[in-house]
Amino acid sequence: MTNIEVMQAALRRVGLNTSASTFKDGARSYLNMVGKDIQNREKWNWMFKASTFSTSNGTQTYSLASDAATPLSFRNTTENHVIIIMSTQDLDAADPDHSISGDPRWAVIDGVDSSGYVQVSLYPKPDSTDTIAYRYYRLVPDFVEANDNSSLNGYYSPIIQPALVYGIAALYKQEKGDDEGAMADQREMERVIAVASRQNANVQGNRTYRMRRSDDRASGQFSYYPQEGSLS
Amino acid sequence: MPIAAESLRLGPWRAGVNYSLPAEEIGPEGLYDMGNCTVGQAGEVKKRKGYAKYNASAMNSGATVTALGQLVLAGTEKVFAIAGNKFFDVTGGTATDRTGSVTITAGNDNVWNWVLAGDTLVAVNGVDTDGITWAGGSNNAGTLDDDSRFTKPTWIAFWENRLWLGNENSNSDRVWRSDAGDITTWGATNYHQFGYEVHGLSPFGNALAVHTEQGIHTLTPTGNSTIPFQQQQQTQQGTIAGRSIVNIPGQRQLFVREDGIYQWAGGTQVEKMSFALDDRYWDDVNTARLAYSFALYYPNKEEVWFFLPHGAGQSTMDSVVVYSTRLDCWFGPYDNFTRDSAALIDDLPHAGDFDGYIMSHETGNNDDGDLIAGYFETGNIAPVGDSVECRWLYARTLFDNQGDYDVAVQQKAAGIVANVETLTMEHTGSTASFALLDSTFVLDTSTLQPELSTLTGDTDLFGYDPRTMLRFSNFVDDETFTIRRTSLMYKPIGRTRHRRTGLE
Repeated sequence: MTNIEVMQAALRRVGLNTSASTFKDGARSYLNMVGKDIQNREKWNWMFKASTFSTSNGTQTYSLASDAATPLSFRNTTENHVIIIMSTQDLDAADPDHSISGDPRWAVIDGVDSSGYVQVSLYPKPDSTDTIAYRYYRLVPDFVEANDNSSLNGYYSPIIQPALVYGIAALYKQEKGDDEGAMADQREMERVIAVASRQNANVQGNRTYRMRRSDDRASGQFSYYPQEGSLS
Repeated sequence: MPIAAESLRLGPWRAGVNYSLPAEEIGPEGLYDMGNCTVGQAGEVKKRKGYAKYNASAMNSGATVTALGQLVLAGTEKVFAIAGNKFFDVTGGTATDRTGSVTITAGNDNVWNWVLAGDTLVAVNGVDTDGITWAGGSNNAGTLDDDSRFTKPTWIAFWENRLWLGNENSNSDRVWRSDAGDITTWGATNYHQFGYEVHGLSPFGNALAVHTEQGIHTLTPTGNSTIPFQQQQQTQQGTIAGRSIVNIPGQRQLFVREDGIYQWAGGTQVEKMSFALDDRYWDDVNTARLAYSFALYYPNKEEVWFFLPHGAGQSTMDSVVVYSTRLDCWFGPYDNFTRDSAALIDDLPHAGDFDGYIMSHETGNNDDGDLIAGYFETGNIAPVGDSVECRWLYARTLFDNQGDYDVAVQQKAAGIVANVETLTMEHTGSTASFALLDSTFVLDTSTLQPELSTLTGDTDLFGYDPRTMLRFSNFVDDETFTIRRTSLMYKPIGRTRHRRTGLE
């Protein structure tokens, strides 16, 4: 669905004119609010992304993609090795004047730049042009009117998109004082999120695994044997 | 699952239109605005009927029709008209020049007043020296013999077997009477003086009502041969437009004054009847031209049609407002035409235009081929009060099964974006299977079918506001509608604080 399709479906549920800019503006605000709620409910598979940046000789700090919320991992694809994330304190301890250069092996999450983009510092400071690939958990930007006719598929999985409709409708009905109607839409939103959550749990990608039982015969199982006996 | 909603019923609209109140003060039976629509006897609102040419060819090269009428002369029903400087027998729609040697001065404002005086048509216009007579048949019009007592009389009446003529050239406040049974004999002193300019004559009960702007005067028979009529001023207000005087059943006389339309029931008071037309309608009436307004009683529907000049600087009568004597309410205006004269012909309103035609009103669903722009707006009602927000869900409208005609249904309210939905005035998809039983039903031949004369249709409503209103309209040629009532479904939300006025 496009942004406008989601907004108009929500406005129909609320009972508001679907073409009036006043109501579309309201629906867009609620779309952004509901989106943030949903994004942070769990680690959605469709929120993971990857990108690259290129190093240059003598430059230590680099900005990540504008939608990168949480960097997860880095690797140098030119030199074919991983880059380990370390803390800023460790960087400063290892190289107080940030003068050491070479093939970077560590990355430090170093706040945000003037545009608000996450930036990283590499250590040692690169001495050549390498391609650094990285993975991150994304941030969906606030939509504006210019995005109305854009597809949401690049931001939200189709399975979760109905939740946006219900979420917008719920917030709008609350604004209009229709708490009963808002609760009905809220229930629908939660139902869709629950379905999407089950689907998300079955994606064999960036998920968290529970430690395995010792008797499932899988490699790397967690073994724990309670010892029989008594303390004396 | 049924919808948990309350219902607000609008209509039937037996209270008619009220232009003097804001929409928020008009009840479920009233209308806020309308155009080219009629309120029927059940309070239903329907698009007015159209008009068509009565005479196929324009009279007198398209001259203005300053008089028309239908009456029985010499035992034959005749239709006559005066167009420009000629007098026509227009019986059956074919105009035959019967002017003869009479003098008729053309001019849009040279309108005629006429009566059937016994067996003779007599007409005067206040411009030409003598009145016109016509005995029907194949005769030409003639000149009224008034014994040279006066010239250019303006108003005319036939009462107590006498012809009465008022407001003549030398004495605008004078009313002359002929001898009884002889409309060509006029005594030298057989007149009455009223002190004010006479604006109209109309028999009323056992009296002749003489209208001046300053009052209605009556002449009543005394039975005394020396002083046969008693003159008496009854009221302090009379008409300014003699052609607007209409007598209606119930012994009432309606007439136009500068500030509205009044009623006189024969007593010492007049009563303003047109408060409902004040402000949003009457404010736009060109009162400078009201003296040329005219009216017509339409018995079949018990309606009075007032032809008025509506609009700044409007000189001709371009607007008809209708008073329903049956419902005691107003509706209209009817527009999309200009008229200079009117009369009842074959029981239907007819009116003369400025192009040589008599137009048969209440005919067909178009205005001589043009579309009729029919619309009406309901009151703007808050079903649970101004402080309680309502979510408006949908409207269920009851309408007559009339055909594949789309009616636009527009929802309006301060806090709601105007939205237009469509209702089709027939059973969707299969009109034939729901055809009505009628007089052509033949046993053993016709199919027995359900009688569906009215249908319902639902249209969406939108938004949140304590109140809302609907506008129904159809501006399509040869299409009509009859809306009987509508129920607005809503969900009361409760009291909510608005951040600002209007949309939010």
